[in-house]
Amino acid sequence: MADVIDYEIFGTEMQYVEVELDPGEAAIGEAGSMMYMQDGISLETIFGDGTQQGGIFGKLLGAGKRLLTGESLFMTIYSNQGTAKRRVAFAAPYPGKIVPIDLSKIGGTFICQKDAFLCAARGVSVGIAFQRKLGAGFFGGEGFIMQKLEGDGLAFIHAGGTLMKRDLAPGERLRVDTGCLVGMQPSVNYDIEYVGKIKTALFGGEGLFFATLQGPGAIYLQSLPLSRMASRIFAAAPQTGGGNREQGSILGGVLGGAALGGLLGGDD
Amino acid sequence: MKNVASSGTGLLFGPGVDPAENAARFSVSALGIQFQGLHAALHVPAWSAVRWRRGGFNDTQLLVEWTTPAGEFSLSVGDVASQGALLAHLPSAPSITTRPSQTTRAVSSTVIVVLVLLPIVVIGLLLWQADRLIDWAVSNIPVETEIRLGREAFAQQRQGLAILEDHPGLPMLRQIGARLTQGSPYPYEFHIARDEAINAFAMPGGFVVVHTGLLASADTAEELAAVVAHEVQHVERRHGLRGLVHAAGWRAVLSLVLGNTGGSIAGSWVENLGDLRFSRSQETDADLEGVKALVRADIDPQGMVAFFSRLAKDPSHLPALLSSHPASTERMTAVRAALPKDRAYPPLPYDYQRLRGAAK
Repeated sequence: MADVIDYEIFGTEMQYVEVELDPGEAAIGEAGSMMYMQDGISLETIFGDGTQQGGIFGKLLGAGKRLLTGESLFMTIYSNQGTAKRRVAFAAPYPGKIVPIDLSKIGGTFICQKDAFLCAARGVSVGIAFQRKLGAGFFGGEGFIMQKLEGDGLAFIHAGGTLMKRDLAPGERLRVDTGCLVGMQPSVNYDIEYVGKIKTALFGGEGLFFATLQGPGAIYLQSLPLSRMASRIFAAAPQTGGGNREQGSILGGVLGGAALGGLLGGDD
Repeated sequence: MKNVASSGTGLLFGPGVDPAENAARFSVSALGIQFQGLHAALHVPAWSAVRWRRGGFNDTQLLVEWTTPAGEFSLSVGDVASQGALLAHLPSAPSITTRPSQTTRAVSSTVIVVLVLLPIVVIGLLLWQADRLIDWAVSNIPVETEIRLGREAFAQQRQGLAILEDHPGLPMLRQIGARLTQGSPYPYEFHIARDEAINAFAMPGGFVVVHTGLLASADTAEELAAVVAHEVQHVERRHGLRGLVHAAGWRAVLSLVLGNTGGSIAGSWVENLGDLRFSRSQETDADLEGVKALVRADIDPQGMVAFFSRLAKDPSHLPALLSSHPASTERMTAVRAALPKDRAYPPLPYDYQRLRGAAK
């Protein structure tokens, strides 16, 4: 049985979650996500996610899985060793929303995009869910490796922009831009669908495929995938190299980079 | 037969079931599925009334569906033990098949294979036939368009440059420029910018900028003329435009392949790599054509060899790129080989030491 923790989420667009631990309770956090903690909370960094039983092999396996999901090999346990309630806070790494997921109420398993996990009550395991559908793995926008949160405690996930929860009725289908899926219950069928028209595929700006989600089950969508924001920021950032004088207009960027073949080499 | 009831857990969906609390415990018997706890009041579906299929993430779930007067219900079961309890009572074959037919699957996998291969083929073609494709594209862009593009780009570039309108060498630069660009379709503009870097650059449409650092480091007007000839050839040979088409081509291909997200970063990498391969041959091209232009203008092309060799020898002036890539020696060898033999040139009529401006 996972620890029962109380929490409060602060902020609007750049959020953090403050978790209250009773004496003896503990939370696990993604390495690097802790923002502050009160006196009396001791932290211990463990190899894996703290749920593996047995020998070194089990631990190595767990840690290896974490590496696959893009998480750090280590996870930190924050436990309250004091005699009063203590608080520890975990901050989201980029603009977006933090959403609490009570695994005990939704059947004990939640599948989410890798990197989505922020923190959880001790006893929640963070594993991988390997996408076996080739099409969904290649073009679904989430890759082949997803995270699987298992247990009966509270877990917090984070994603970019605004997060939307939607409960799909049995058989209900939703087409989603690839990359916008954050997570879902395992009862949801996740696949891809060709956009349908060659003109749309080439010039529609959505890529070649939609992700399709078919109910029953709950899904979470993000309005702004980090990769999309990163590519916009990258496109707007001053270019490096020879063309760094001008503002980042497309004309300037392209012409500057390409046309400013300086005299002495020009290929910097 | 004994009614051995076994039990399991799953997720229940249907009218009146709160999706936030739909974890369900159930027991199975010959009568049907009996829910417990929160959902104990629900109607017990009989085995004859339910359908089942595989579904969910990776098809790992067993989905049992049934219809009541209130609407459609669905029970999704993931763990093997609970699935076993249900399967003991369910018909062995799924009663609903949601799989697409064989032909649709075959078609969709062909589509996927084609869509994976197509970009690879296109990129391969682009790499392989890049020059020919770009030649074709560039030849279809009228000079007027190029001039307009260049003017816009230069207007933008200009804000970051310290253009000197009263530099003593400006008339000399313009006269040399005029000799080197006779008969050209481009309306050339020559400028001097205050910058210590030994550099000069040309933009499409005929905008040539020479840095004061370069003026100061050249020893004769012939050396300056050599640099100008080199830069003018970048314009005449439409190298800038080629670079632009090249980059735009990559951008178009990548946006096709990657959609609207994630393209930019990978894109710039590829663009830069492409540019690298591109620029070296262009520099050599500009050198050789520059020599021809100098000869046509009756200016001693020996200046080019002198200037580059001197720069390459003097480590304090050595621009990083010249030192790091051996191609520059090859470039000079190529230029030397291209110099016409037994030809005399009248010296340029300028007092270069005075006109090149104040010393650094």
